[in-house]
Amino acid sequence: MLDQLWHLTLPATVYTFALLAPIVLLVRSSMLEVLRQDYILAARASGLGERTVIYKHGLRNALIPIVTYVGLYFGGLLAGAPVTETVFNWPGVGRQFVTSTTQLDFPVIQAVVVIITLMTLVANLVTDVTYAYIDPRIRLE
Amino acid sequence: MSPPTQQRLQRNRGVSQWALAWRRLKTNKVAIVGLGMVGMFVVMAAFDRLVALYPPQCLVGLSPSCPSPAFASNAPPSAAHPFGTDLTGYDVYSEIVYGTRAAFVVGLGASGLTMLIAISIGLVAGYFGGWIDNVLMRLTEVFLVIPFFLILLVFLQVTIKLAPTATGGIWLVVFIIGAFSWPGAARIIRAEVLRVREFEFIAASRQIGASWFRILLRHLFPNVLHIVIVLATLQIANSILTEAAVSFLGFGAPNSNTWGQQMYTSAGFIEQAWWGTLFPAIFVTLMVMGFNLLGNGLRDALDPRLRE
Repeated sequence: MLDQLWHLTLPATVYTFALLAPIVLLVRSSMLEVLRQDYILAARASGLGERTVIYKHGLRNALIPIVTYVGLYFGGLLAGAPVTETVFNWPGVGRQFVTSTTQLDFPVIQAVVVIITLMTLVANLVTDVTYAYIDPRIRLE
Repeated sequence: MSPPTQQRLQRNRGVSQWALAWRRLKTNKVAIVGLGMVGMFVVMAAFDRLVALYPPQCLVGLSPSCPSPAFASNAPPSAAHPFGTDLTGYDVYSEIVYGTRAAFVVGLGASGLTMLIAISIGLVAGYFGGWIDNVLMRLTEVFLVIPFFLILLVFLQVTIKLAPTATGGIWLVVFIIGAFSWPGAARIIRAEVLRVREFEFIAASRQIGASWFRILLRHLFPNVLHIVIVLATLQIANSILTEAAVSFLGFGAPNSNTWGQQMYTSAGFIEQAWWGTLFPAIFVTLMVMGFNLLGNGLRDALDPRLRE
């Protein structure tokens, strides 16, 4: 178990860095939009500590569009990373797909594509529902 | 009249929007670095025989058209071979230079196809609305959900098995990357069209009887052009990266020599001959980074909200 974790660090780090940058940029631009709003000024004026203003009033509202993007990215994450898994020889769905494509093992290819499409769809659905849940301005019709 | 009055009476030409945007782009140092990197690769691609050290695919020392040093397979970097040689004996640096053209073909071709489809669908869906919009957006979602990287692998493998000596393989890669990358761009273009179609000049055009085709082409398209340019640049970077990934896994187009394929042939010897894999990887990174930096700079320069 510990050995698995040890071998997991490098691929996980590499994969994380690839996904990290767009999310950081998104958080930054979203926060910039939110901090310009009037209610932030009102919260500051009513005497709340700076930390409360930024985290509780600012970040919570900024997270709404970010949740949508992270949800979509998560769907893509589940699609496996064939390249990363092949490079690090990590026995995952991505590497399995590459091997079975080389040998033109059609049932496996079909199964993997269907499963990954299903997972992406479910991730999309969950993202939409979560978005409607946390944003009080939107209600499911 | 006196000269100063004459000067004041001369028509003031004014500055175009593109000149303003270029001025804004020039102040963005990072974007200029990106532009410089792209320019360097353009020079490499255009003058590849002059920039490279040896003729293409030349077995140094063995073939009469290849000059001096002795044949050396998997030789480390040295004075004669700045990046070493690969398994077959080709000079890695020269092979990288000759691969630049293929990279540009893939990048520009796939990006062009993607933008063509995305513009058509985005403009039509955004302008007409109603059921056309609905149908096109559902179609977009279908393409968005399919894991196109996996489909690409399967297509290429089938093609390689069916026609191992085919020469036009790289166009298949271009076509598939282009045919599956359009949904993201189409959605963004459609959102911008939804914003632009509320302008009064569109209603005025409709009033005087302009056809929908004329409105799309002459009025809507120039106003979404700024977004199209940014998306096209970023899509070039994306396409090059995808093609490199696909070739690295071994599914490269049969008779083309791209950086990804160079990485693939050297990948088995990465412990003894790290230079065969590292240097193409570095060049892929630099090219993709250049286009990304340029695309981000263009986005900042062309954003209408920052207009003075």
